[in-house]
Amino acid sequence: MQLVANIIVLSAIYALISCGYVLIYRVSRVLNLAHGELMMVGAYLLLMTASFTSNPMVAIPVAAVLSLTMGALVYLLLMRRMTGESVLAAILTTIALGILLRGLIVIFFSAAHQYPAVPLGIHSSSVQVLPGARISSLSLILVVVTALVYASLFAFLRLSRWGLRMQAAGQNPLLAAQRGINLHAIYAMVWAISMFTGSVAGMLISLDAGLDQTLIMIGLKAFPAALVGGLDSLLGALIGSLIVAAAEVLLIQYVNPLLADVVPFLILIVMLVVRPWGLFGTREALDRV
Amino acid sequence: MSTLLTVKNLHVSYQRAITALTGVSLSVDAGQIVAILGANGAGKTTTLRAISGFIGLDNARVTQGSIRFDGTELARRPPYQITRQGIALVPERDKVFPNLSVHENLEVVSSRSAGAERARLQDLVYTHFPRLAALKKREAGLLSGGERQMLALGSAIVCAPRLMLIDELSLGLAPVIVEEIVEHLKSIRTDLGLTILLVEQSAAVAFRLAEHAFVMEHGEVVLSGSSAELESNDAVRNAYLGTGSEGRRSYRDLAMARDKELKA
Repeated sequence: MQLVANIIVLSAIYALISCGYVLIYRVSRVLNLAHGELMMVGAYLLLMTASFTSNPMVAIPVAAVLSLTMGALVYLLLMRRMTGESVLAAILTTIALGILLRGLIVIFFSAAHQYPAVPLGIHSSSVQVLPGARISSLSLILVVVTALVYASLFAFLRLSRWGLRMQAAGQNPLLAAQRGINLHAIYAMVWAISMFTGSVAGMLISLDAGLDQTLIMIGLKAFPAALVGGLDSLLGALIGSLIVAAAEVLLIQYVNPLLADVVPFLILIVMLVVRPWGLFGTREALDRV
Repeated sequence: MSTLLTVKNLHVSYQRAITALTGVSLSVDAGQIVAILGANGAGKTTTLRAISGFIGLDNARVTQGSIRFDGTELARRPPYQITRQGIALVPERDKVFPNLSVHENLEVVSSRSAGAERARLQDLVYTHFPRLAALKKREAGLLSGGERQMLALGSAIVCAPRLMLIDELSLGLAPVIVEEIVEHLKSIRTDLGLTILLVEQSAAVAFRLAEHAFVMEHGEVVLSGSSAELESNDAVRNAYLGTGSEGRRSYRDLAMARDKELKA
């Protein structure tokens, strides 16, 4: 039972991060390889707001709003200039952005392991979730938040006019512009949402386990989850996260704990060979990568 | 009747090398239906895309000339702003969002219309195209060619346009469907007081719909006049209807006659 609980928590982490990869790819066809770094920036934003206030009810929402704003700014100030350029140029830009952010974080926050939970007075306790299975209270919150985020995203994309416009922009940006849709506004919004969901994951992980540059590794491991599910499918991101998390937890338990950082990328390679468009993705979508 | 659209001496080149338009001038009065006729490569679609602001996305640009819509210069404005200004384009292909339902295709439109006006325009679309009303929840990718054309026209109508640009209304559609769409378009035009600029290879369809027409060849307007005048012009009849005074001719004859007679 403990294994099941661990798989659920790890898949929730991957799912919360991988939806950011999927959203940006699905709407703008850009593979954001800086997503792990942006997630980490979100966690550091919480560290920053925690230095101003010890009230988590203020520090967390303020950090979340800052991450939303920063996501939109990344598009408006940087990625917008990639409009009309090749997909490769856009991907290389995200890689460069990621490297830049890593450097800036060391300059501004140092490379030391830090604990945003301490100034906020947050203590994670152990909670029994299944018979014989316990997880930390922050992990439980993370699972609940992931479920809420996915339910909100599905509802937003299917039921709201802006969500439909996002889908329209992803299907045919030219026609979307012909229908009066401001593509830059849509792309800025999707970058903002993507950074927001990634940041929420980063904040919850750092509140539970502390914060340093190794957080990027979790962000990177969520990429195979997105690709296994299919880069343009939110449902795929959920299922992909579950597959990657299950494989990782089981191999750590029964084979070798050192496989933790290897397994997701092994699955990624197998998937790229067998079914490169993922379980729920479309062939057409992969052609554009 | 006031002039709604004026295109003056418009030059467009692709990739700074291929000249597509070499001084197109035309005007469209408010409330009129105007057709642009011409063979493949004459520059008809490029003219529509220049007006609607899309040539920038085709690696093309306006090198000279002006496009004025109701007194406002449109050249170099982004496409979505031109749509919100009141110009809606019905493109030749890729005209619907295939993974969205019929109703969602009408919902995604962002236009000058909002709230009650948007709902009124959607109702108008469903009234004129009852087939769409019956297929509201069907994915647009599963519609027939005619239904897609109806949906494309409907989406453009929800944009609350003052000027609708239609690229190849009849292309690939069965005559009976074209007939149905033309009739609906006429009554929608009356209901909304729409102005329509239509690019059409089928001169028969163009003359049925339009009051005025321009004939384009090699990137410029070579003839213009009322539909009745052009329909009775022997050169146009030979070139585009195949029914000139010399009777029906083969396509090769028509192409040669067109070159000779239009130049004369």
